[in-house]
Amino acid sequence: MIELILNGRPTKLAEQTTVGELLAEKQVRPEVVSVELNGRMLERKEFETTRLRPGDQVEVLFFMGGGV
Amino acid sequence: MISFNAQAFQQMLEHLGQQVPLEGCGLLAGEQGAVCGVFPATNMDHSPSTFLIDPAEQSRLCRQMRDCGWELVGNYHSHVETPAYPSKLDREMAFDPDAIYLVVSLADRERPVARAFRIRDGVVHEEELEIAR
Repeated sequence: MIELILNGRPTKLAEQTTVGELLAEKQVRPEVVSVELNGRMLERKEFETTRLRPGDQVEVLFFMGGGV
Repeated sequence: MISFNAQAFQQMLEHLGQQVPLEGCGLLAGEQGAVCGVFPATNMDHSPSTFLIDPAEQSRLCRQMRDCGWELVGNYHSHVETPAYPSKLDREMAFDPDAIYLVVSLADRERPVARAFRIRDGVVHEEELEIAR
């Protein structure tokens, strides 16, 4: 297991977990969020290839918008 | 029921009033069932009828609210000329099932109307809103 910070909270994940797998575990559709990893906003195509490491700071940000 | 700190509520109304004729938007901070603070954001659309928050700004504001001991509990935006109810696009873009979606109608500039909702799978559920003095 590894421990990282997800949206400000300590979180344990299996080693070698990718960003895409994290989203799947949290039941979050990748097309409705942005993910910031250690201060860098990831491209969506990076979700499946980016593996999380101990101590990473991850922000999963739901898109916020709308209109009349 | 959602309890909304009165000072934060007033700050939100002032922010939205300043954005007219454009839609204003921001983040709601607090804890489950309670809004303790508001964090105004930039409407990237600069539009009178739509809003969009930059994820990078959203991330920065989330860090600020955590420094205050709060967490993200939802977002707010204004409807400049229409009622305080989630529009079709609001419902389609309500991706966070746990978030409070607060809509403020400024159709009557002297008497803004604020209503709070949860939106899950496009289904709107209104929450009672209490302004806590």
